[in-house]
Amino acid sequence: MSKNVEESYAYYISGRNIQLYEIAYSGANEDVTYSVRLPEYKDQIKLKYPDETITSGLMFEGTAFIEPFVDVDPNELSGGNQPTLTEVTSPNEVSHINLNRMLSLACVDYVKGMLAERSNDINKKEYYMKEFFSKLADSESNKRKQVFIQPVNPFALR
Amino acid sequence: MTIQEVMERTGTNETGLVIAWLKDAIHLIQSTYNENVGTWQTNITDGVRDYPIPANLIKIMSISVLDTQEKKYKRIRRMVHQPIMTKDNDPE
Repeated sequence: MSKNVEESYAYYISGRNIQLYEIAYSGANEDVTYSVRLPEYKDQIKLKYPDETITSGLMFEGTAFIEPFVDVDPNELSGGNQPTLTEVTSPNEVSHINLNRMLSLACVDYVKGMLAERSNDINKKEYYMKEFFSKLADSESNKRKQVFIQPVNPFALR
Repeated sequence: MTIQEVMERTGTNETGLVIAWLKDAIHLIQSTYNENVGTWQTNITDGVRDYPIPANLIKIMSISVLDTQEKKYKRIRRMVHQPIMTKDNDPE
């Protein structure tokens, strides 16, 4: 049975793999329940391979290439509800990009940038890539509401 | 937005190339921001150290291990340096 996994496991990224290690404190992983550990015990930390089988025990979380193209517009509600999206594995002209409107417009800038690069117009490509990243930042800031409060200098002349 | 609309806005009729560029753009977006986040589970096997990173994963946000006592996935720490090995395999 695995317990205190946040203390007793660690990973190292090695190319396409992760190396998963179990941390054995003082030679036994059941010793991790104490709240205070004296410095000299640091020398007792050992790494070992996972010593038990855990079904679905390792979980990765991250961004991925998930359903990039879908069959319906992801930005329009369907009868007031979220649209039901089905992935299109072989996209064609009528497939929708599975992104919000702002990011779709960013993709338009990206394609324009690539077309400019193909015609050896690097300045134009740089311009469109700047527009691309600007729209990415816009889209991301749309998800957050930030308030900036700046105190007024009491001796300032207005 | 449909691919057709992208092609009309950019003034090109090369569908295959536009789709390839759109995939590149989506990849770049996912690499920059956490736009579409997913999770992948795999088994931990006794005595096995190496586990492949999922093929379609672009940016790792966290790696967790199942705490079977509490039935929760808990984030684990990343080691900055590769551990020093006394042998070429199990460091125990």
